[in-house]
Order: sequence, then C-alpha cells, then structure tokens
Amino acid sequence: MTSLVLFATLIAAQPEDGRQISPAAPQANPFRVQLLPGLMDQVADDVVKLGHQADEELTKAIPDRFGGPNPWKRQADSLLADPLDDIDPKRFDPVLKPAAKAIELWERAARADRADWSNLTKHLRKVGIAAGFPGTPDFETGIQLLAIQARMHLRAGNPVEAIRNLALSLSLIRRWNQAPNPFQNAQPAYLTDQVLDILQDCQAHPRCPSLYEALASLPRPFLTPRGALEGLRLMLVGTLPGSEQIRADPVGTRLDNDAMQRLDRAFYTLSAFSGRRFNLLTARLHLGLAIKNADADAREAMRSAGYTKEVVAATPALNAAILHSLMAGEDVLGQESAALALSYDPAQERMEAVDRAHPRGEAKPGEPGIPSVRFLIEQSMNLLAPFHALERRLDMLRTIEALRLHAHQTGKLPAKLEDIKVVALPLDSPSGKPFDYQLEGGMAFLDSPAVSRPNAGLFSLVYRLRLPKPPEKKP
Amino acid sequence: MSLSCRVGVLLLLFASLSAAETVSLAVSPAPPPRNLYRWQLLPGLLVQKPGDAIEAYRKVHAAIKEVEPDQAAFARLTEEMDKLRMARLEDVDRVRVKEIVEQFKKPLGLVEQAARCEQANWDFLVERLRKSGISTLLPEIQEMREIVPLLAMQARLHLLEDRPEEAVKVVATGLSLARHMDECPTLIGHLVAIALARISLDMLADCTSHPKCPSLYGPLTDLPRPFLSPRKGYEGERISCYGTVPGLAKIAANPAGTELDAETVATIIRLFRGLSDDERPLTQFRIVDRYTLGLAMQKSMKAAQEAMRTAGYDEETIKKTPAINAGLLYGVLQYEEGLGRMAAAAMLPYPQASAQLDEINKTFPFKRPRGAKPDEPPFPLARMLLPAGDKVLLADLRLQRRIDLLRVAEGLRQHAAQAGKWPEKLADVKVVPLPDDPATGKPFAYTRDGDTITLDAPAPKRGISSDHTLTVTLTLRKPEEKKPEEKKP
Repeated sequence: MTSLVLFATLIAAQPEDGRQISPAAPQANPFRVQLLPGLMDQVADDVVKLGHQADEELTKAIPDRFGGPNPWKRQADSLLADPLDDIDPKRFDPVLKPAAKAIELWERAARADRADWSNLTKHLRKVGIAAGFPGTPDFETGIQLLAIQARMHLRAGNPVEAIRNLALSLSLIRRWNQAPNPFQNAQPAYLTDQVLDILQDCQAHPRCPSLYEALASLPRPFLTPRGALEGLRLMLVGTLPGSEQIRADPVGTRLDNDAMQRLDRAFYTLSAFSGRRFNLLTARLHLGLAIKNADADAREAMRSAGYTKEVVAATPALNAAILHSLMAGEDVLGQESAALALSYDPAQERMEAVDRAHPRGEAKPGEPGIPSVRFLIEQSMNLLAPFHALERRLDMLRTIEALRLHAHQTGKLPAKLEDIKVVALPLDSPSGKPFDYQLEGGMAFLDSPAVSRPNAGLFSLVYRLRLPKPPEKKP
Repeated sequence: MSLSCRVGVLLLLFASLSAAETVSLAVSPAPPPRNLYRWQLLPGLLVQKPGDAIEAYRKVHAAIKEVEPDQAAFARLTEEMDKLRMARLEDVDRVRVKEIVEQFKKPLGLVEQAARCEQANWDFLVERLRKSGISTLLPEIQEMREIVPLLAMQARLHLLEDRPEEAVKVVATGLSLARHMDECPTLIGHLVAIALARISLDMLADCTSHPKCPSLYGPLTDLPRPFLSPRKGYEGERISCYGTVPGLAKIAANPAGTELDAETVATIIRLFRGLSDDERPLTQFRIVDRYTLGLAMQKSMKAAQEAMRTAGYDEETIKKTPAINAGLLYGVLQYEEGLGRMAAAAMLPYPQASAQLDEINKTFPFKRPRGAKPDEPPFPLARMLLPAGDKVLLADLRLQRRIDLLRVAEGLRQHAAQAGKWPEKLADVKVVPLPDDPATGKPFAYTRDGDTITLDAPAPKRGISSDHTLTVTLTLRKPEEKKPEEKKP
C-alpha cells in the first residue's frame, strides 16, 4: 500500500518548472558506475547471517529503535524524506555515526555471494500460517541506512559515491525479494522506489555520469514474485499438519493430538479468510462437519490425482480432507505462478479469473472442506502490479538517461523520442508500447502509456524534465 | 581444462550450438495438468534441501568414476549414449538403455539430490580466477558435462516404460544442473550451461510427444526468463583479466604508488609474448626487450594519460604514474570499456542488443583491422582477451527461442484439446497467450498442412544465416479408435 501512495505522489513531488536533468557523456568505463555490485567486489559470505549481525550491532548502538518515539529513527526518516537541498549536512552524522558498525556489516552483506534462507523455509514448513519470520533480518533498516549514506554523498557533491551506495541498497533489495517470504513481498518494491528517488536526484547533478549502461545491465525483471509464491507453498504445507506425510502415505498417516490442535486453529483462520466466521472453541465441530460434507469431493480429487481405488477407499476422512485442501491450494498456486510469469495484461486477466473462480462465502460443491484457496489468493493478488510498476519506472529512468546522452551530444532535448540515435530506447514493460513524449518550450513530458487492464497498483507516471539553465552572462 | 584452452572449446561449443535444426514430433492434444507442481521444470523450494550443489556434483563425478574408472571407456560410452539420445524414441534399444541406467543407478540418485541443493557455490573458482587468470583450470565444468547423457538415458527409459511424469522430473534435474552451471563465473560455464539446457529441452520435447503427457505450457511459462544469463560470465571474464596480468589490480587502485619488481615485469613480457598471437603485438614482442617495450609505451603515453583522465584519475596521479603502469592501465581501461558495453548489451532484448554489438564492433579499436596505431595501448588487452560477445548473444537467443517455441507448441496442444484440431493461424489460439519470437518481437512463422503444422524461427539478422534456423514440425496423432466391445456370452 505504501508503494501505491509513493507512486501517486511521484507526479505531485516534481517541481512545477520540471525536474532538472544534466547532460551526460557516454561512460568510458561501464564497470566504474554499476547499480549492483559486481563479482569483482563480491565476498564469500551469507547475507542473512551478516544481516542478523548488523541488527545486533544496531540494537547495541540504538537500543530502543523499535519502541516508542525515537529521536534517532525520526531523524533517519526525515533524512530520507526531506528535499535534499533543505538538509543541513551536519544532520547526517548523528544518524550515521552510531550505526557505523551496522552499516559496515550491511555493506558486506550487499556484496555477499549467497543467502541462506533455510531457517525461514524450515520454519514455514513446520508452522505454516502461524509463522513469524525468524530467519529475516531487518533489511528495511539496512537498505535505508545505505540510502541515507547515498544522500549524504550527493549532498556533499559526490554523485559517484552516492551511486555506489545505491548499488549496495539495490543488491540488498534483490536479496530480500528472493526470500520465501509471502507477507513482505511488496516491501522490496516500495524500498526500490525510495532508492530510485535518490537515483533521480543523482541524474540532476552536473557531475553524475551516464547511468544508461548501468540501468540497461540490471537483471530484468528486477524483482519477481517467485520467492513469495514459493513461500506460500511452503506455508500451505506447514498450515496443513502432516500434509507431506499424508501425500506420501494417505492411508497409514495418523495425526497426533498436537497436530489436531494446530489443524483446529488453521481451519479457523483459513475459514475467516474465506468469509466464514465462527467461535474458535467450536472449530473442531465445524471442521468435522466440513470434512463430512466434502468427503466425496475429496476422494474424487484423490482419484484424479492418480491414487488407486483401494487407497482412496482406505484413506481416513481427515487425511482425505487435508490432501484435498493441499491439492486445491497447489492447483491455484500453480495457476498463479504461470500467470504471474506472463506480460502484464494477460497476467492481470488470469489473476482476475482465478480470483473470480474462488469467491468468499459458503463452500461450493467440489471445494475442499478445509478452505486453503481463498487465503492463498488474498496473499497473492498484490504480487503483480508493484513489480510491473517498478519495471515501468526503471524503463523510464533509462529513457531519461538516453535523453541525457542526447543532450550531451546535441546540446538540447529531442523534439521526439525517435530523434535519439545515440542508444536504444526501452519500451514500457507493462504495455509493451513506446513511452509518450512531448517537448514544450524546453520542458519535456515523458508519460507512460495506458494498459488494457488497469490496476490501482500500476499508476501512470509522468516526468516533467528540463535541462539546466545556461549561466547568465555578466555584462 | 584451462581458460587458455577455451578458444578451442568455445569453437566446439559454438559449432554444437549453431547448427540449423528441425524437430519433428507426433503429438496428442492435451489439456493443462491439474497440478502444475507435479510437472514443474525446476525443483521448487518445497523439494530443495540445504547444501552446495557444486560439491554434490563432484560426488556424482566420483560415483561415475567408481562405476567406470577408465576414462577412454567412459568417452566411448558417452558417444554411444549420444547416439541413443538422438535416435528416434521408437528405434532405441530399450534393453541397452536400461542396462546403462542400472549400471549408473548410484550416480543418477546422487545427481537428483545435487540438483535439489539450495546453493551453487562457485567461490573457489572466483579465487582461482583472481590468482591465475586465463590459466585457471576448470575441471568441474567437464565433470558436470558428463552427467547429462546419463540423465538423457534415464528420461528415455521412463518414456519407453510409459512414465512421462518421471521423465519430466529427470528433465527438471537436467535444467537445474544447467542453472547451477550458469552460476559459474566464466562465459565458458555459461555456454556449457546453454548446451546442458538444450539437451534437457530435447528430452522435454520427447516427453511432450508422449500420449499421456499433459500440456506443459504452464511449467514452461513458469521458468525464469531469461532462463540463463551471461551476466556472471562477463563479470568473471573481468576478474580473469586482472588475474592474468600480475600487479594489475594494485596498479588500478594506486597507479602512481605501485612499483613493479623486475620479476613481475619479466612475467608480464613473457605473458604478452605468449598471448599476442595477432600481427602487431607478436612481431613486436617476439624480439621484446625493455627497449621495444619502452618505445611502445612512449608512443602511447599521451593516449594512456588521456584514458586515465577520462577514467577520473586526478592530474597529480596521472603525472606521477610510471610509464609501464600507465601502459597497463590504458590496456585494461580499454578492455573494461569493451567488456562493460558487451555485458550491458547482452541484457537488452535481442534486436537492440544486436544493434549495440554492431556499434561496439564499429567503435572499438580491438575490432579494427590489425595493424599498429600509435595511440593504441602497448598492452592490447582488449584485442587479446575480449570474448566474442556476438556469439554469446546468438547462443542465448537460440536457447530462448527453443524455450519459446516449445511453449508455443504446448499452447497449440492445449488449443487442439479444446478445439479438436490445429488452428488455421496462430492468432486463433485464445486458450493461452503465445510468446513471440525473441529475435524479432513478432509471432513465429506458422503453417498448417492438414494434421501437420510447422513453426519456424528464421535466421536472425546477425549471425551465420541458415545455421541459426529452428523449425518444429508437429503432427497430430489420430485418436485411437475404440475397439467394439466384445459381447459377453
């Protein structure tokens, strides 16, 4: 949601007379300015382990950073939000100095060559829907600290050093996005926006080198919903106690008392997601009824999945219900996984179709007694727009870089985008069309084309851009 | 195998990746699978286990050695397996395939586990590249290559014994192996990964031809895109350049303050003598001594200083930098410019990447006709070490086209399941969105002749014309006629 607000404010945040961009010569050495750390700087280490160490260091330095009104946190937030020119350079030290050790560790984490999420995957697989995220360090703070450091360098007139810090932030964002973390999937996209805001400020700096190649060589899509979907599948397995064993041996698996209590709670929560509310104390009763009502469908689903007639007949009703719920959930996740890999319009169309096919409300014939599907849909519906919105923004920033290169070559902004010959221009990823562009009185308007299936998360972006005014000649 | 032997290997790989091809399959109409995860083409997180895949593949290699310690005998077996892999499925000697699979049961079990490892850790190779540059030995790559023919045998046996789901699981193992190989920080690793993926996709084409195989459109769509990326390979090439020339990393960090000792200078001269197999450097360095080297450096000193200026070194540093350091730095800056542009171009869509590479070839001195130019670096690292970016690009394109063509074919099987026949034209397929040809951004060429359709990916703009075409011909199997039920007496 935060990212939506941020997108909405992007147009409003631009000055009336346009955002300044400085002309830039082509990069002599593309490795000098990169937006992700290269293999050359990579260190053999684990980003998750380093992240936890950084968290510990920061907690030692600023013990109450999560609790109550905290002056350090407030100052840090304002260093990210305030217009750069309004920031007194002296304000950076009180925020960055106490966090110096943590920043050093986050910098190393951004260059680490691997991320070991096995603690998180184990936990999701075991605890399911009730899982916290014990394997996830506080990436948000790490990314923001590096972003503040970038702003400090930019304020001091050193855009290259600012970009180096932004590259480290972007590296952490990518790592975070790969985590099998089903609930925090929009956070990396939102933080990328913050980082790209600073990158835009860099583009205005007269000494900012061309970022065209740095942007072109970013992996695309930059962020994907793959980690979140994988996490959801693990969570589904963890939510349905014994489901993996039941899949392998539906007849012989028996749930113990502890597993039954977990199933009661899971059934209660999953039912709430499906719009079916009842008292937790009566969960076992409702569960029994639901299993009984859907038993024939559960056995039919087992037959379609290839279990033999004998196994289907001998499977206890509870196991058949769990298996049915698991298979129905996996069916939906599989459909979504294939849909989300498509380009924006067909992906949106398919996600809407999945949503429509499984409405909230009372169970329908064929649906599992333990309603896993609606929960999964609720978690994955927002996995499309933020990622495509981010792709759009990256494409627009690369177009702005092409404008900077053109301005360096010709001394002015082009009358139309086709006049740019110095580099290739990207298309708008979500629509697959070229960006709209107009030049009016020295101000360029760069606009994103419409998509066939609008979504609240996929805002249209408009950039108003101008070149710096030439210095006035003294009489 | 060392990186310096890579020219030969690369040529072989390019040759194997660049033949014009036609794939002909008899297929049945097929709906999508009920549960995509059962037919997933990469092992999901649910079936992954903590651990390092590269270490695990080394164990697979050791297990293969246990079964067949004689290298020559294994090479002969690989040849035989290649023949069995490429023959039409119905012509394959099932007994022999089964014999091979039984013989290598243990390594095949281990490779399945390796492919499900969460990490592929190539750190050790990065360190090797830093130390030895283009002399780095890469035995692991060869070891991983020898696994795939065994997987192909296993997949074929499953198909011959009517188990398409198991065969697809073997394909997933092969594709995971390719992805693990692609993490290798060398372009040769990337090209080998493409070759492995290609063999796995051939196995997949076999699977889609099985009457019980559902449409694999969804699992193919779900694969990461691009499936393999040269990004790490380009990064590794850069590290390898620094590892090749002793002292280069120190010079780049501190050009004015780094002093090369006599031994290092002698090593550098020997190295250039060995590497400079093109006209000018070779004639220059065959009689190389300090005098010739000094002369070459003097000639290019101004250009070297200008290159340092453009790279952002301050005037004080430029003035104090010794000539040999400036000469080496000039060479590496030119190399990095070329490599960086190639790497950035490789990430663009094919038509744009191809145009960028044309531009790079026009602009850069390393691609100019041979012959001395006074302002060229005395150490022409760009000429000597830059990879053939256009060939890598074509190999990437071929793999992506293969995946996309298979996706289209599977979309068509899904359409046939719904409509009962092939569509008149591709645009008639509404059941799923079909991908365009990545070479052109337009739909693949489609023709229909009765029950047979042909999907065509013509030669792209760049490259060796007809050697880069890919054609898939699909013939719709007639539904088996039901035998009239025998009346019970």
